[in-house]
Amino acid sequence: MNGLELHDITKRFGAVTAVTDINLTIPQGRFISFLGPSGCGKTTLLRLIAGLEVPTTGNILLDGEDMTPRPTHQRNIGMVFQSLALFPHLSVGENITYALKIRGMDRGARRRKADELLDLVRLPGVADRNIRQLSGGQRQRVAIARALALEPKLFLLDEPLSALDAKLREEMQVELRMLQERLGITTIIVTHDQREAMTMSDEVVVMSTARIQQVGPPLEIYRNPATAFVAEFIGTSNLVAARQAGGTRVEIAGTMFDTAGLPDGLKPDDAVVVSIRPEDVHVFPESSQGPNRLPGQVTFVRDVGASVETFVDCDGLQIVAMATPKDRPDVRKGDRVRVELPAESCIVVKA
Amino acid sequence: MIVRLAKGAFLTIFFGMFTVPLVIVAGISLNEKKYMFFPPQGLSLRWYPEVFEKSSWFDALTNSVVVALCAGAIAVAIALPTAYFLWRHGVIYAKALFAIGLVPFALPPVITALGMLIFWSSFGYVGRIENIILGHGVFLVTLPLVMISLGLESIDDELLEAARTMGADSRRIFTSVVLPMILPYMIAGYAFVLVLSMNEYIIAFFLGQHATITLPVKVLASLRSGYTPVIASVSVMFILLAVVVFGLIARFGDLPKLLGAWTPKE
Amino acid sequence: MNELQATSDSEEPTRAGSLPARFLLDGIVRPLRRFPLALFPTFMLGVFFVVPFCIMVVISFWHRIESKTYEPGFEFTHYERFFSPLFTSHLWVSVQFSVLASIFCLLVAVPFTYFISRFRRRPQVFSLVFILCVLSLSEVIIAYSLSVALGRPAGITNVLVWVGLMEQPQSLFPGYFATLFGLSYFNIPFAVLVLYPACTRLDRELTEAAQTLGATPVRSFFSIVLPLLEHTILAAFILLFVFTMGAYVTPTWLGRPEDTMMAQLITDQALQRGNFPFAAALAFFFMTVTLVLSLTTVWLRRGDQVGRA
Repeated sequence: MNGLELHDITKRFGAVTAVTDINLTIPQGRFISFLGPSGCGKTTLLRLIAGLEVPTTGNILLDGEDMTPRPTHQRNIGMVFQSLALFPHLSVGENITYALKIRGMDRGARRRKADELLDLVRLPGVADRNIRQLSGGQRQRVAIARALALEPKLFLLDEPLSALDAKLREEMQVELRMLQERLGITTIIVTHDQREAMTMSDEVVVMSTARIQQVGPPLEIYRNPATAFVAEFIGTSNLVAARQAGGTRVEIAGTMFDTAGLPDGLKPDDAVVVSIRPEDVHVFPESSQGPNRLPGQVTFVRDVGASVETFVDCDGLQIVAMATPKDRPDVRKGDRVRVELPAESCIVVKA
Repeated sequence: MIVRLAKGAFLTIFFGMFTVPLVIVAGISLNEKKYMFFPPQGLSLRWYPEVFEKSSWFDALTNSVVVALCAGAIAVAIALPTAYFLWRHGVIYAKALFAIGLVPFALPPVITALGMLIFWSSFGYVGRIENIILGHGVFLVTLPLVMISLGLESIDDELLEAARTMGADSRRIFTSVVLPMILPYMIAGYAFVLVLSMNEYIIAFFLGQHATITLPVKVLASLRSGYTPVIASVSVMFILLAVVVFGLIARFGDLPKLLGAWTPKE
Repeated sequence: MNELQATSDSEEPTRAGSLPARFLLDGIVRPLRRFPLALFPTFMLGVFFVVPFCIMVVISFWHRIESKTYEPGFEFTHYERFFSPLFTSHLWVSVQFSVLASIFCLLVAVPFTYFISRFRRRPQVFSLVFILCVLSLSEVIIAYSLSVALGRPAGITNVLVWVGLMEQPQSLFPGYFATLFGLSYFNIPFAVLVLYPACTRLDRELTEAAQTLGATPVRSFFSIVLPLLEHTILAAFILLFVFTMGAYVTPTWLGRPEDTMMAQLITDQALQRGNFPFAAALAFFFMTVTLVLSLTTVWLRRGDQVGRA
């Protein structure tokens, strides 16, 4: 098959396990993000794919061919490092055509190719400049141009946008995505910024503590987190401890709640975690009646203009509700209320 | 991979090549008879205690040790204010002083030796151990100077500013912030001077004349005239001492950083 | 209030004094007032280093009477002797050895230092301790051990005979090759220590990036690492050159009479023949050459030098 396959990849550094049990298939031409907090193993995984690290067990296949024994310089990849790693003693053009010079391309052809690539990343005319003369955003583009010079099969980027300021970052996110679509190249980006991953990728690989937690399209991961970690890491979420109570019901603090569904393999009375997005929580007056409601007291109201967040303490459980200004609940700090956790919005994951 | 094999071979040959002197010297030190054979003929440890018995060797050893300890102190005592002066007040005077401090080591030692000999000769005050101590103390200033400067450079400006906002004056800042941070560099500098002084030949030869003989001078003289494996046993003990000293520094300090390695801030 | 005092202190009315007086005041007296401790190094370095040199320079012009005595005078006789064939041949020998030994030393030291700077922590510290211990061997001992290793009874030629490359064991010392080898050998630990800081500053990702672009490790070493180390290698070369020029023990022990170097010459003139003025002249000339090269080194390394501007 065309694309990248990772089978049973594990990488240990002495006593430390960086990644374990990695099984992943990435079809050709897709834009994938490795997303997770610091230390989760995402950069290690990228480096394993690049060949900069050798897996302790497992193998990596590209277009059906086993790439694992091949050293980095024999793999057909283009990589952008977090520090960009532009060669300080070479000009912009020389940086970009470094790989081509190795392949024996003559000077004239290299020059043309450099100009071509600079046009591609929308940075024309700087081929003769020294790296130091460029701004951060410009260097970013040079690094991308350099990585794409050989038209590689894989395009790998390690936190490429983390050094840019917010506005530039958002611009580059769109540009990178457009570039990738135009070239149709399989792209993997490592990031700790979930908004970035959600914005740019076809699929997100969420990682934590050396393992893959979930793989799927951004919206799917947002709506149906598979584990408590994913639920908490993606977007904001209320996480409530509960107990399985048969069928699709759980018990929270003595009250029975209906949910959207329970995961498989649960035994009766197992501990679970209910995840619900603040925007799905409704706040009602204390006197109201209805299913899936918990009594509590308002501890804090945060009005940030575009949304209103209501913080409610339900006998030790902290629930946050978010509403648009139009639908804001008419409550103040100290009021006693009931919060509704609608069944269809309650995602249950294993504890 | 051929490259990996070549790299391994290179490193093996390198380490092997520099272990050869130790092996040869250790072997010779174990000779049973009073001959400097290698490989040794007959094995005996008798030459090791001899250093501490035979008076001329023991004298040379004590001379070397005394010179090293004192010269080290002098070198660091000169280096510290010089480095601090440049770091704190970068005036021309400080730069000139620093430059003068770099010169002795940058020149072939024979020149320093000759200059000092002529200097002391004109007072008729030669051949004393003080001559050698001062000679080494000044000649070896460069190393602690560079190391302490390195240490001062590595102090984050923000630490000093923070101390200042908390009301510390220059002296307090020095004793409570600067000094503890450069102490490892001072100690390492002192250790280097110790080692280099113990092994220094030319200045000790010129200034000590025939009156005060240090160990390297005696070793070379002995190699030319009377052969005895005591020379070898002394060298082995030196190496062991160096291993201990540098091993301790490596264990309790950050050796790469002391030698100038750049620790990236992650 | 303190702030006002401070500004008024640094803005003393400029006296209409002469240039030397102002130089003395601004350049020396005022800094000393702010940091009186600077007097100690000034005294020590001045009296025990600068003064001896000045005396030496002066004496190089004095007249020599007979062994170990000389009287004040002013003559260039000693400097004229520079141009005798004996002197120039020894100078040429010294330069030759120094250049070659420095080059050979760097050929070994640069890859070695690069390799160990890439080691993990433990092996790296071990390598550094190893180098430091080799450094702590005195030149005498190293020269002697090398003479054993290159000699007939126990030397390396025996290995060559055993392997079949030679017929009879030979003594390779004293000799040109032995001296050159000994000088290079002795220089290597110093070179490693000089190259080490720069090697650790090399961004590892640069060679990794080169590899992702198709460069083999060898190619990335030559196209990325070496150009970045260029400055430091050059500075190391000059330092080693100066250092080797001053060699005494190694050429004494491993060299033949025709391999005599400058330091031996000066020592011979000063101590054996008691001709201090000539020795001083030799030393002064020698010093000028090496000082010029040292300053070039400092100038080249000004990018990563320690003194603050």
